[in-house]
Amino acid sequence: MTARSLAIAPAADTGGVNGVALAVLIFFFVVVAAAGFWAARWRRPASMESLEEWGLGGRSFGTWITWFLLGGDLYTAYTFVAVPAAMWAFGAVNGFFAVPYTIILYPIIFIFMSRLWSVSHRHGYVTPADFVHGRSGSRGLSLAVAVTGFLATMPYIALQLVGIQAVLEVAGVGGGGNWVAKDLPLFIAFLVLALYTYTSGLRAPAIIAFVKDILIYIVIIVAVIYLPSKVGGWGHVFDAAEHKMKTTTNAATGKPNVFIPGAGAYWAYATLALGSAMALFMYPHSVTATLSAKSRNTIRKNASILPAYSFLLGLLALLGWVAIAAGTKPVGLDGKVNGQLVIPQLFEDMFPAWFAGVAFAAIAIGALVPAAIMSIAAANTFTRNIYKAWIKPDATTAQEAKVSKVTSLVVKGFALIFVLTLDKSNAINFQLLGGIWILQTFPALVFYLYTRWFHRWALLAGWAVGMVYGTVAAYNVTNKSNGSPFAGSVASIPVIGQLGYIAVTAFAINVILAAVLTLVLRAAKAPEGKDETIPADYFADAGDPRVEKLAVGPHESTPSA
Amino acid sequence: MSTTPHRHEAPPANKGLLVLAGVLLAIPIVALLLVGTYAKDEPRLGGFPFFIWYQFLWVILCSVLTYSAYRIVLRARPHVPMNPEGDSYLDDDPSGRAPREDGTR
Repeated sequence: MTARSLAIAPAADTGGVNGVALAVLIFFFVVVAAAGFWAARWRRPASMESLEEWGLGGRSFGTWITWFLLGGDLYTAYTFVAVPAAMWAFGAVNGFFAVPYTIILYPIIFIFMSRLWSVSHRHGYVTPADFVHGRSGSRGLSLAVAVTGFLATMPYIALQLVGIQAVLEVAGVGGGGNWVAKDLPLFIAFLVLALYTYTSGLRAPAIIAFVKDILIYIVIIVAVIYLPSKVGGWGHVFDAAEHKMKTTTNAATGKPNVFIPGAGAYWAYATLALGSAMALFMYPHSVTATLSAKSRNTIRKNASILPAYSFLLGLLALLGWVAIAAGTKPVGLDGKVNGQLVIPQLFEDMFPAWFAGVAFAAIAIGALVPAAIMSIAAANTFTRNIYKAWIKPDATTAQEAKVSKVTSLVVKGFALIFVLTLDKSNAINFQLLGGIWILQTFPALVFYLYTRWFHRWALLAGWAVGMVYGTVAAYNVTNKSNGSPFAGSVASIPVIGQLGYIAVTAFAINVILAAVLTLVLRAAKAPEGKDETIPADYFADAGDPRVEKLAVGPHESTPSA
Repeated sequence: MSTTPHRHEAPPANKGLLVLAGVLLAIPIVALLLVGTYAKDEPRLGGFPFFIWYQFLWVILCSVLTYSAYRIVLRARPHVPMNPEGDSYLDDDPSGRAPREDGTR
């Protein structure tokens, strides 16, 4: 349904199982699953029955391993499947904004992350909601932040599942007649992931990350060097992309596709990049991860070397256009064009079957690892800031671990619902939808790092209105070809009248409302919450009194983009 | 979560240098948000449209600017250790480099 109007003849040869590639894929999947279950025994703790052990698995890697792991974490189904697919189907506005997004991300986190590191280490905060609670003294605001983090993670996990599904489909499985047969391979992959996350906790993705990174680096390097030369060089790639983009329209929006954004798309491109960059480090898995840095300024130093990864991300995005030049026909097993299949299909067409299998494994495992990490982070947030804070304050550690384990299953279950119910033709929307929600916690988290000027009730009201506006606006973006809601993340910005990323519009409404209500509440002398932090907390560094090493996740100092 | 010591202000900082670091960080953000300045095909470089290679160029520039900001920030607000109670800074030493808890400097 992606591109009915595309001038692509139905391919006759896409059906059938690619035996060799599938065998390689299954081989790696079994190895990884075995490693995932074995992880529970790795450095075996006395008991797995505590949140510390299950959810935080506390390990500290050396500098170079950390850097290596960071790089691997930037490559998920988002970079490997969703961004190139958007480039292939709709062009630069839908896909290439990921490059400025991952560039301006680093100056933004440079600014506020050190303060968050310091205050969190002085007070033992592990989640964004912990900090908001300590700073505002408002349980309600803290709950809002926790719920949002939990909710926004789901579509992001769903995006990972779409990546796994794409690989399976190109390999030739999962296309049976009824929906059970169609989705069965995805269910099996999902079930294995859920089970080893359940038994091994964060140790599982930590171990699998090594396999993932090695595979992904091999595939990326081979792909970006070998493929363009095979299809006639970059110049030809861009000419082919330009031709396709200028002769096709986006069936979902009814608008022309984009080779290079025209004047009408400047706002959309800029707000997608800015909104995504501001949103990424609000996710529970990324905040918790950043806190695992050794010292206050580590994240700043990392921020200056991490943009290098954006370079490879950009080249991967361009593989979507390489696929245009190569004439890749991403036709699913149901006979319909599905843009999400374009990169796996490109690999299958251009590489020998065994290497296509390696590439499939890289994509699939590259999606499994972040899916596991995200679901664990969301589960920890639930346990810490919802279950323990509201439902059962006197929960034992064993009960906490139990709740987290079950919640990690629930989160993945919801993610599966996202995959099965929402419009997948532009899967990058899953990530953008999560961004709309999570960005609404930005004022509470980041503004509070600098000032308590905003009243806690005003921030809560701003959050609520931003959430409702963002959700309604995203729902109202319908796919013009089939009428399904949540088909995009870009809508007209009120007042400005240009198309823009809904998250940024909702954020602006959120901030303005919070500011106005703050003035009102101050005038009405509404009670202030108690701030348990002091200015000095925001500058503390490793070695200062009461700066304890936090038991946070093992290796993510930057999140999976 | 913990008892709050009564310590007050942020460590002293060179405001000018902090502003400079802020400007360096703002440059890539502003440059990339001004989409109209680079949304064009020509001139191409090695087959890459301007729109593409210009953004790749900013990957490198951003890296350089962020690293510069990192060095500047370290100098603008040198770390000041706290007393063992964690409620005040050990910065009454005129040299500005008070001995740490364990006697090292």
